[in-house]
Amino acid sequence: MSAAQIGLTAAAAVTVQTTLAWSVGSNVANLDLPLVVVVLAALSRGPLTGLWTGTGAGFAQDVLSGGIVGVSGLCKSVVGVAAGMAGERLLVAAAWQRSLVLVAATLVHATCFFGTYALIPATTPIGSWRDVGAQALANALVGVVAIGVAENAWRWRRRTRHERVGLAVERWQRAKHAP
Amino acid sequence: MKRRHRTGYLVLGVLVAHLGLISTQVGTGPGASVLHVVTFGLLAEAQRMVSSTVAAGRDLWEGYVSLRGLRRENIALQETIARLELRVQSQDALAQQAHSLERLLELDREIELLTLSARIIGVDATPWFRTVTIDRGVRHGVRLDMAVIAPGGVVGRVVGMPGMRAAQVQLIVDRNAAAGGLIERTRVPGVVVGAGDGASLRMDYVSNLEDVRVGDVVVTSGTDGIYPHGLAVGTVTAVERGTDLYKSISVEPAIEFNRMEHVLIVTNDERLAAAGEVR
Repeated sequence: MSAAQIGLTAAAAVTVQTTLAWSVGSNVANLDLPLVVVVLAALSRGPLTGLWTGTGAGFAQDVLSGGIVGVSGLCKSVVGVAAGMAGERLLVAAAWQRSLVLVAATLVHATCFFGTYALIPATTPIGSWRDVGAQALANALVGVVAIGVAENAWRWRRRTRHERVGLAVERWQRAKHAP
Repeated sequence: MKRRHRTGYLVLGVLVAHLGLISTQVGTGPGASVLHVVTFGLLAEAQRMVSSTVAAGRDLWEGYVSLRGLRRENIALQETIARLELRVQSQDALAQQAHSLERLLELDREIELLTLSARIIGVDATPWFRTVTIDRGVRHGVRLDMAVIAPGGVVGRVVGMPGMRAAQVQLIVDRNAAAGGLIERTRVPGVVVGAGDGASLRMDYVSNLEDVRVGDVVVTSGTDGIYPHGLAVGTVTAVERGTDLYKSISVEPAIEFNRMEHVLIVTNDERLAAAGEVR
């Protein structure tokens, strides 16, 4: 995935989180789609990608939420860097391994988020650790589905490209041997 | 090795920048940075675009394919009902107020609300706060701390610096929200705050000696300077004697926030009324 594609995916995640969740229902809103994008991008491209994706997605989330601007950005940057380093050092190729990283990332993100707000008396977020647990599972599930969809799309694209190349070679050979 | 050091410095720099950004907002007065306002304006446009597309698709299906003319008629009727419900609430408030004031032999004061309708185009980007984005901003006369209501009762207030064509509304069920309230039956005052679960309310500072019962209606007192007097906030669902001086009162909100699509911003601005923006 290119940097532009990652940026667009993060922007789409923030948009879906704030608009479609309202149309579909409030239960969907417990997901943190931008966090899923940050972690998956960091796992595939390293800590620097995690840092910038986390900063951008977190900033956009902060601006569109009732909290203090910078808190989500800070926590998502930390999670992005950590996930990127985990991706470089650990074996996280399988979908279930990535889902475990997503669960851990959600817990780290929530600890950072609620910890930072605990230092700021003026603003208090709602939610409990039970909600965080539910969010971790939901994020992991969405991550697994996203990985499955992305891998299938990539395979399909590669197969169609091979078929196209094969057809082109066949036509060229036919034209070459034609009388 | 050099690259690793460079990455480390970069991470450190970004984290320090975030902490700096956070610290500029803590302990200062109301208001927002230019960066915040501009980014909010841009992102709100994206929200508006997606929301409009979704709404247009839904309207196309419901309005033309499924129900044809009935859909429009229904919307018009709903708007009329909404206006009438609001008027009934104002009349109720007037009646209550008149009743109280009659006993004190004082004059009655008329409640006249000038409102501006708005559509909800987005919700909070995190699950940990309860705010919504509406499609009205500075250009339409929306200002910080304006009350936002719906036919059922109080919705919340405008927070942050509104964008040109969008504003953020903190719902009354947010943990950081509060409103002056009173029990309609006994006129006992208190402060209504978000209970912390993001769905219900709590009424604080009501003495253990006061008469409050399950089923009592809580309305705004108007003492906070944001919400007009007499609007429905919710219904008391539980009352317990507190361990200190005050009762523990749970309140169910009058509004079903999950189904809300349109709201009314209380502008009380005569210039907008003259321009035909408000009704």
